[in-house]
Amino acid sequence: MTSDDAPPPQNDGWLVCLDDYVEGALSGQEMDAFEDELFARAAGARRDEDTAFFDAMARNAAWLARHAFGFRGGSTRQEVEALMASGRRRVHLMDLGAPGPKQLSAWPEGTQIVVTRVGVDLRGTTDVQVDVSFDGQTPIKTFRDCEYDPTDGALYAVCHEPLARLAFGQPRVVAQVTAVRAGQREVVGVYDARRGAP
Amino acid sequence: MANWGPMPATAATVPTDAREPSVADLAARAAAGDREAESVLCRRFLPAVRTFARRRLRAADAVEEFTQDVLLVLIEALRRGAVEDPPRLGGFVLGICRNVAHDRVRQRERREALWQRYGTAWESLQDRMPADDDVPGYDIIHLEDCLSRLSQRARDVVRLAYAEAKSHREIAERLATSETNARVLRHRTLIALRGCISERMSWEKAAA
Repeated sequence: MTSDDAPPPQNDGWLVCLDDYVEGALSGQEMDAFEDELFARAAGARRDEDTAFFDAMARNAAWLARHAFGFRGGSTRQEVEALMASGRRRVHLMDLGAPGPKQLSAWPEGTQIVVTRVGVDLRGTTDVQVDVSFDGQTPIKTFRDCEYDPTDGALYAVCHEPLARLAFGQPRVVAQVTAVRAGQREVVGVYDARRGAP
Repeated sequence: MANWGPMPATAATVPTDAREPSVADLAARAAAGDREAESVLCRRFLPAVRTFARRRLRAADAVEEFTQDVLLVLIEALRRGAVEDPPRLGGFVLGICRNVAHDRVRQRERREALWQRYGTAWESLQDRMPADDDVPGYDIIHLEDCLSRLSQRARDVVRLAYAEAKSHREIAERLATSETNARVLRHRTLIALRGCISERMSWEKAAA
């Protein structure tokens, strides 16, 4: 490793080194050299973007783990009920019901967690994913490996309010739920939600 | 009432020029009493110091405490004009880290005294995570958004590796795979996350 201020230090090799270092996978000699480089980069002319990313990601992941984020693609009804009953967070449950056109109403001021219930029945399926667009055509995002409730087959998506605001604050949001049943991917339901008063 | 407004901008949302004043310049200004320069200088080293700490300490609180210890000593050195060779400040800070790591007991006692004298300088860095009742900042929401795009296996890796500080071996056991595969999966996930974080959130891009 070399310490050089000139090139931007963003590269996969350095990111991998950071991870190996924190994990303890470097030998004593490698560790000494890494630490020299780590601080040389911190003192360099350019901000060490990789180390800043790594640091922020580790802190933010730990914060999310302590604040109702399960690192899963959905929750169960029992988990949502427990979260709401705990009273530790101000939770708003938005039940979209069965697929079809929907009119979205805003949640109360001060909401911290928004739980979106997608009322499809996914029991007996695997590889559930939700494709979202703002116009029904141009894909924006795909939620992969979504987890559904084993008792009612519905999706319970839990997220922090600012993220929900970005997603549902748009004039129109179209979400298509697909899953694999008997080896074939099929469309389970399509939601066409528009913002407005109920 | 309705709350459809845009998210408040944070420092993380505003693109910044990657080129900043040199540490030598900042150190000289800090030694002359420029508190803003001192603050910028400390911020520059925060990720590296935390990374150093994370190598040795597992608990997030312990990492934060170690980081505070190092930065308090650095602030003291800057204000005393004890940084003799500012261009080599990186090595100087690394030396502080190693000293702190070598003698935590002695440092713990010293920390109390430093905190009394320089604690307000550390407070002013404002680099804390949101409290339980705070609205999470853009960086956290961005990570939450990026995580939802990963496979469940990759999300498990992030949780085990970074939220729970598990080793390659422990992650391999939890995911029923080899240590080598766990390491590769961890690195691939890390690189994928960095790619996602380096862009604007999918919702913002589409709405723009």
